[in-house]
Amino acid sequence: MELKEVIGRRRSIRFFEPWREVEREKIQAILEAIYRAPRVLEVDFVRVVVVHRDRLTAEQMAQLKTPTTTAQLDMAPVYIFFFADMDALEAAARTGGGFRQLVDAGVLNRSHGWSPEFVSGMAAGYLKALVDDPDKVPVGPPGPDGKPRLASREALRLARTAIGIAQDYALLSAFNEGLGALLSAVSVPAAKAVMGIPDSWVPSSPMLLGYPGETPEAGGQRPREPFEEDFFELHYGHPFYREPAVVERLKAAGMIQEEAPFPWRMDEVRGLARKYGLPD
Amino acid sequence: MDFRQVVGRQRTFQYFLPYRPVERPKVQVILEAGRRSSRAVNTAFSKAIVTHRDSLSAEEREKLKTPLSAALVDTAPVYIFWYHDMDARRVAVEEKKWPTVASGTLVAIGALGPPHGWSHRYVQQVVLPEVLMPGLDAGPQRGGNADAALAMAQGLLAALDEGLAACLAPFDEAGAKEVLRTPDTWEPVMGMFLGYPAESWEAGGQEPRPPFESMFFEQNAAEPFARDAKLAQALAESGLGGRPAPVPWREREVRALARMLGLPQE
Amino acid sequence: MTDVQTADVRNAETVHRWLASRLDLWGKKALSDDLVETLTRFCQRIGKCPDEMIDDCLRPGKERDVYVLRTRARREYMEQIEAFEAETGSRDQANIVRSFLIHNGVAMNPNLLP
Ligand SMILES: Cc1cc2nc3c(=O)[nH]c(=O)nc-3n(C[C@H](O)[C@H](O)[C@H](O)COP(=O)(O)O)c2cc1C
Ligand SMILES: Cc1cc2nc3c(=O)[nH]c(=O)nc-3n(C[C@H](O)[C@H](O)[C@H](O)COP(=O)(O)O)c2cc1C
Repeated sequence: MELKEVIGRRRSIRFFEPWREVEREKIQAILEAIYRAPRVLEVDFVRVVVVHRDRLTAEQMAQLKTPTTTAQLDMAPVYIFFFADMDALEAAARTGGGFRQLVDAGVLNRSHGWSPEFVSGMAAGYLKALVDDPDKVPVGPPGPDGKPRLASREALRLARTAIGIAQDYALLSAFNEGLGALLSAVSVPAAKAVMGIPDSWVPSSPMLLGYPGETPEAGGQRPREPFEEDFFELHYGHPFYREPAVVERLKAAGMIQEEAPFPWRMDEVRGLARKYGLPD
Repeated sequence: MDFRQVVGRQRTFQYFLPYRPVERPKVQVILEAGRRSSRAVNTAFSKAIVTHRDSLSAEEREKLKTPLSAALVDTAPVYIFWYHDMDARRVAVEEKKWPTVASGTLVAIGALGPPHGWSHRYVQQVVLPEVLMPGLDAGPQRGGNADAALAMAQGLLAALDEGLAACLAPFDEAGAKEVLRTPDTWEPVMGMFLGYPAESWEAGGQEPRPPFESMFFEQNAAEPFARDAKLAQALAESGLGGRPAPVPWREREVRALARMLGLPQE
Repeated sequence: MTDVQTADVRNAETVHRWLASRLDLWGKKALSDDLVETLTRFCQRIGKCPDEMIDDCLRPGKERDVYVLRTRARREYMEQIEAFEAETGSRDQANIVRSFLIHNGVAMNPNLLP
């Protein structure tokens, strides 16, 4: 599908066909897209765990649920969890990490000041300063010894950036494959225990994946604050001028679609409630 | 462009045509794409400021540079600085501005409702006080936010789709604060350096990645996802893939680019 | 306390809130007579009136109109509703009771998995 249409079609799907498995090929297609996503400062942060709902025990399912997310977890047959490994950043801060690979591959060159010496000196030093920043906070839930792994807020900033990029690639790829998806909170300590997640992995919200149970429009594109609240030009306070002709072009390309709620949305939701045996 | 081809086009682009401006509509498309990304509780965490190299003085450009992005600041005609607004949750919750979970919009439009256990009363009298308000007293907290990166990633794909080359690199936070006059509550995500590529779209080839098995797992963190090699090959051919870097002629291309752009050759 | 009467249920504040919230979200067709009748049967079964059920699940917070979900009480009600579902053999009837709790701010879901 065209990228713009994929972006336009993506929206948080919260009803899935609980009985319909996702083909393994489609799951791999999503992973392969994440694999090609840009790396934050060329650090190999990203770790992804694919979990099949039906291979979890009833007890594990119960543990994963927070008070608000249980219906989606029951309905989606696959969960894709995203992490960022702080050990990868620490290793990169010693060696220069992926920067060295890019110098060797001729991507980063002397024309821009890059060289093996620059990588081991300046670039590694840049990463090390972020790792060593003294303002430390827990990375995730405590480990077996009852103590959480700590990392600097600056390092976490990079880790969460890496996670967000992976999540976005995953979401778009899911819709490109004709599937529906939603990022959704689960119990982080339970997820850590169920999957045996190392203490160095920064947790995040998993993507629930399945065939959509609702119409692909899901009631319309969800509203946003005005464009001018978020995007500026030259300096903060001067909004980037939003040209209506560009908006029209994006409507034609399917990136900007009809906004929620469709007039029949509430009837659809009640119909879905009956279809899946959910309350209304 | 097809989604997979856009994803496969991603490179760490370094060489931009210094004389070819980036059309404003293309920059707007990048922002519009970012605006449509998924955001927790539908809140406006993600912000961006567009800057033009030629609208800044040499002194201002110096202020934006980090050791990792100095050459990009000098050569890319457009920069988009992506930020995370650490105050966004407070604005959504206390000022009830904009269509968020806190303002009741998600329930009202039928995105999240009683079939999932949600109602207006649940949002206003339980979720707000128990989930969204705790921690607000502590004020803005640094430490990153995935949402802003989701928006940035979506903008990056849109840039590639619009035929632009882009590179994500850090910028100097304090310098940018002076030049861009950003609020105290904004924490940097990454700079996006944009322009038309002076290098070929292959840009030397597809960049190395760690082994697939070290990144992707199944059911638990010890079990690598069994990658089907034939399928990987088919997906690569459908757009995700490319020749691995360096392509044989990369060195000659880089030398020619350096001559063209007046950059150091050795 | 099996003497909970339909009239008591109909007049309860939490039932008014429930019906008003359904009307607001779904429109008039979401207000049928069997709502109150079914909820009354559930109330009779467990010997509690509607307002008591909600009070059991939501503890008033420090500020006005702010509540804390009592997870244990909520879990007990979820189990009672499951028992009601098994007894009546009707997911629909059980969902009417769930709807009452949800519209009053007590989030819950039935189990969807076999
Ligand atoms: C740096 C810059 C800032 C702009 N800011 C605004 C603005 O604040 N309000 C506005 O209506 N248009 C703004 N525009 C858009 C221009 O007014 C104009 O519509 C656009 O550049 C196309 O017009 P032209 O073909 O006459 O140049 C801005 C353009 C640029 C290049
Ligand atoms: C990090 C993150 C976590 C999220 N968690 C949840 C969640 O727990 N439950 C939910 O229903 N939606 C969740 N969402 C989805 C957002 O609510 C949704 O993206 C937003 O309302 C905008 O709607 P759209 O995705 O349909 O454009 C999450 C989104 C993000 C980025």
